[in-house]
Amino acid sequence: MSKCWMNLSSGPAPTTQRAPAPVCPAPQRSQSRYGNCFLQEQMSTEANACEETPVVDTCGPAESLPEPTCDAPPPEPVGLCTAYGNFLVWPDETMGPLAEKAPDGSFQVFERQVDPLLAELDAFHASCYAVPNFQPSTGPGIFDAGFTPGPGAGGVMTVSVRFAFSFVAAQSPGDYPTADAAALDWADDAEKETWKTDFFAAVSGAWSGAHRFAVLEPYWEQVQSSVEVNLYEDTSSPHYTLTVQKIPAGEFAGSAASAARPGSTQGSASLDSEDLTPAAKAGGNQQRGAVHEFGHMIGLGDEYAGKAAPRHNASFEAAGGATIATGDDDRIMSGGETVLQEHYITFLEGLRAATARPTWGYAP
Amino acid sequence: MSGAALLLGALIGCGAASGEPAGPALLVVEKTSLGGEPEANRRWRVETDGDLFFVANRAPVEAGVVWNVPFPTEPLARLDAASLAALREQVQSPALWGLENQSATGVEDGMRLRLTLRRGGDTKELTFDNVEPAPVKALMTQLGALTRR
Repeated sequence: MSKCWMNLSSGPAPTTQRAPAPVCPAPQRSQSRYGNCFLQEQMSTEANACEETPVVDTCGPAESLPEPTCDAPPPEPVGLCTAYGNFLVWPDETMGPLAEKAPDGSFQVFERQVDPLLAELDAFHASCYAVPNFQPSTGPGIFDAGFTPGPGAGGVMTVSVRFAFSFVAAQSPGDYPTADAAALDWADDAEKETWKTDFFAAVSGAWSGAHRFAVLEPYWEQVQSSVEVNLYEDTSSPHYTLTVQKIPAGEFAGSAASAARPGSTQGSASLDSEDLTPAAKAGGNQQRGAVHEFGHMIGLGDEYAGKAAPRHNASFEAAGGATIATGDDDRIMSGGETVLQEHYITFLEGLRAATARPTWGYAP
Repeated sequence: MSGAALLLGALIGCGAASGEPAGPALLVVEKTSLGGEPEANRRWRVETDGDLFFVANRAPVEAGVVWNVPFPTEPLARLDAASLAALREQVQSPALWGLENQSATGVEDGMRLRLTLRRGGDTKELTFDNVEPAPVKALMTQLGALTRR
């Protein structure tokens, strides 16, 4: 009967031949700015007790680990905690291949892989990334894309859009026959400033933080990013000139966006003073016009019923998404304000471009 | 036609609906949303005798409905002779009749303006999507002023 060298505890006989995964405590000694903590000492006290423990005779091939070599000391992994996740580092002489992950979720790598991998991750995290005036594949649209790595999954993508405002009186006063003249023009600069501030807050609030991205390649999935949408006033080099007309409270005017075309760094849009007020839409949905029009500015198309496939559909499908249906529902590019993964497709493209890493995708 | 049929026609119609004034008018203007904002839809009708009708949709507007409020039976205003003559001059101007349909490219959402003009026994329909040529702007400015008077 062959001997197996994988029983690592003195407790009940193991049912599988697998080294227990290290439980990573708080980092005990920092070997990088990400706080690596090596658990070699802990592991060594638990391993190699085979001669003194009952022989395990169910030494079949492990599910995802190298088969134990019987009649010889088996290779033992070393636990390694990093900001990029927990690793089981196997000696290079271990028979491969290794499954990417152990059952507990730890990454499994050979010793020879560790330094290059961590060096690559460290290098990636040592930089900040930005692409000004990013234009997505979906057609018209523009924003500045940036990414700031953070420890663990704490990276942040920033989507920045710059605006130059033009506040004007009602463009078609005849649309409001009974309205007071005072309701057809901005009262003062304070009212405009309030609208501006509210616009920034409404759009940022509606579009930020709806989904997360992750680098979907082996050993990188802990590299993740949240999304922050920031709007700024910039009269010198705006992405959009935004005309905002004053209309009476509770009234409507048709808002529109002419997103920056490919090769151009500037587009325009027309909103009205009521576009920050939720309006009842078909099917019982509510929507603020401004947050919908912003979707066009960043490269998305309409998803209303009766429209052709939205112009972001092909890009979303290419990223692994399902075909986008059109319809009158609660999606932000239809009649509501729900931001789905499909609405982050241009952000995803911007993140890939900014970091020169095409393997970013939606975080699982 | 029954009242119910009149109302139904008004609610589901596109353009002058069944049961609504449909005879020759000097001018009919329809503004309709090209996006998801049919609450902004409104229309005007100026009869040859100077009666000016106006109606705006009432929110919310159900999916697929273009007009959810019929034209009122009473005009918003009755134009005096001078105002009517001035409007007729605008409506029948060669500059306006020489226009073709126009559509702004690269604009998402916004409004469509549809004009039905009458000159003698002739009528002309024009559609402008997110664009307002000068003769149209002049007409709409004049119509707006008459509407708010």
